[in-house]
Amino acid sequence: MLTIERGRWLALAVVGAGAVALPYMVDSFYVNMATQALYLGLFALSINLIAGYGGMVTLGQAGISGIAGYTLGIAATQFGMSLGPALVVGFLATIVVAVVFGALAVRTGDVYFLMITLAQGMIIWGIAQRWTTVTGGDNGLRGIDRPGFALEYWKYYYFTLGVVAVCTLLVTLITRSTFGLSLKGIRESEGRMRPLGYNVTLHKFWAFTIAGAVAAIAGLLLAMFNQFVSPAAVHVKASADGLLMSILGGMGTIAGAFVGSSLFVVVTNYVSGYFDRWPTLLGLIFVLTILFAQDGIVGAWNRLVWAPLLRRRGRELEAERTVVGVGGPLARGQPVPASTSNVDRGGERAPVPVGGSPASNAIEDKVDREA
Amino acid sequence: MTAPEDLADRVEDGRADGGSPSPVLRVHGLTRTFGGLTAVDSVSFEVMPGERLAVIGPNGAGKTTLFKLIAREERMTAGRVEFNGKDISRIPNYELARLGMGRTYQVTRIFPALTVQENVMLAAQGTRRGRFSMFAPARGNSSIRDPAREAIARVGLEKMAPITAAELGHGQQRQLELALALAMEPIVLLLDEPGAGLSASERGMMRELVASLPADITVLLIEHDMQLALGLADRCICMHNAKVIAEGTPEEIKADRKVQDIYLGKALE
Ligand SMILES: Nc1ncnc2c1ncn2[C@@H]1O[C@H](COP(=O)(O)OP(=O)(O)OP(=O)(O)O)[C@@H](O)[C@H]1O
Ligand SMILES: [Mg+2]
Repeated sequence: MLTIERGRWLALAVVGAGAVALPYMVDSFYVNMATQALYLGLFALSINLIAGYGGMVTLGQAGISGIAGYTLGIAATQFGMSLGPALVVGFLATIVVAVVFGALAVRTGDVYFLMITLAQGMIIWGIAQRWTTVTGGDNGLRGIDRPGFALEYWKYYYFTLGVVAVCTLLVTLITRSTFGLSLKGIRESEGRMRPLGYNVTLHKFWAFTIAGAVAAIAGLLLAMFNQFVSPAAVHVKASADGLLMSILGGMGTIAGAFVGSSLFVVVTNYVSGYFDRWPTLLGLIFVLTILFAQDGIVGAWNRLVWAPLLRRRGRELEAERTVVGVGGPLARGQPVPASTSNVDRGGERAPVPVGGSPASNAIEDKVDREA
Repeated sequence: MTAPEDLADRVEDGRADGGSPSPVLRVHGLTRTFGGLTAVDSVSFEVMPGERLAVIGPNGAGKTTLFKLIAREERMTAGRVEFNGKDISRIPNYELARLGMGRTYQVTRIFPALTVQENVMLAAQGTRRGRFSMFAPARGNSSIRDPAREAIARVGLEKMAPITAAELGHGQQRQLELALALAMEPIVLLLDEPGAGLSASERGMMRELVASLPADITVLLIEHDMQLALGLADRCICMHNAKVIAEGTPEEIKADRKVQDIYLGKALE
């Protein structure tokens, strides 16, 4: 029988098989689109990690991710380093920058965090633009190689798929770990976390650094894909695009980052071929998402399809968990399902000391209402 | 933690073999002013390990501010607080939590969007090693899961564990708040009106819950309701206009003229 769990694994297997089979089914144009969706999804995931899980909305992530691309480009073209060491240097340089930027940014919160990360991104962009002897200025840096084993478009696609899959798995583990739960707590209420023993600033700093590492990988994949880096890659717009993807797909969900990046890539690469006003279309999709599904496409899917399905199978608690508890800072205004336990159910509360009706009753009530 | 059955006679036991003569909490000359207003005015007292100290007093007396100062949530204008012999007047409040200070709030402070289980797990892991563990699933860590489970059981919310905290009734949210503090396995527990906003019967049950707390936890309890507070406490201090105006056993406090005046005066208003 097809249980919910099996269904979930099956869905993942189908997506995985589809991803593997893709180069056999479509031509290079679409495969390259998929490659883009993958590394952009990883980039959006890095934003999601700090914004959706940590509650810190950033507008400077492309700057951090761009450090990786630029360092790779500079190491390879200016210093003639071979690809392997250049990748390592690019990764490490990004970590260093993320550590410094993080140390400055995480002391603030909310709109100040946004402003600081914005400023940090601008600094990187300014350097990329102005330090022409090293960065090539507006012309960017050409001549970044792909790994020797992944030169053709479809090999590079598989390479990207593998790297992104591993990184996504690691990020998924982090979000489910003790540390990930702490991040959720910080997103919900920093002020409550401190008296529970949390050095909130330190947690945010770690989250920022980890997100920086993820962004670095995405930046390296991007640079090798284009075999080129330019100031556009570190521009505030690139940061905002990443945030947009992450919100479109669903803040605080792993799949959302990739759903968002896929939608973004389809609109920018495919729809743009038929429709000049594609930025307007993207804006419209974004506005509609904010208006009707602040929890993004994946959040809405969970809310409208997944949770009702679980409910129909009498799995009320899981249904609740699927809906509430996901969603980033933007989803906080979501209505919470009507309270079931305030109501006095006189005389039933023996096992629960204060004001409680046994959970089983509450659940049965709901199932009844649902049926 | 001690099993609930052993708890009925905890006070006597605690007194008899509570050999340690030094106070677990020593508050000296604690003062806090807000502009021209003095909310807490040179308050001094000591609390012995395992003791139940009630802090009573009318609205605006400065009770909550006193707790905030002890818990390092509010900067003190003057004075000193010692916790287990250590001066805590300067340390950040997250470190205080790790030293063993737990606290509940007059206005419930939980994580409404997270489940009861997650709420209590967060409280349990904040003061323990492994809170930076990144790749092991949170649920798999028994050194965090077990105290969380125990705290949930103690306040009687087992069946609610998978439910989102926002969905709990007010009374249950107050229980969850207590569970958060207990999951930290505190040495000193500051309870700020645990019965706030509860119905009469709920208050009775919250009272039982507080009365059955493990004997080794030192409890400071703010309570408006003098009957309730005095019933639970070994000792009591009464605050009025930022100052401690009386201190003593529940009997002494009940007999105190100044205390009677305040509570009588309040009743007449
Ligand atoms: N942050 C603040 N800024 C200014 N005044 C404050 C602040 N916090 C408390 N006060 C004032 O300090 C006094 C004591 O307040 P506090 O909350 O400690 O009283 P309380 O004894 O807990 O009262 P209640 O029983 O109503 O909870 C009050 O007059 C209050 O208005
Ligand atoms: Mg108060």
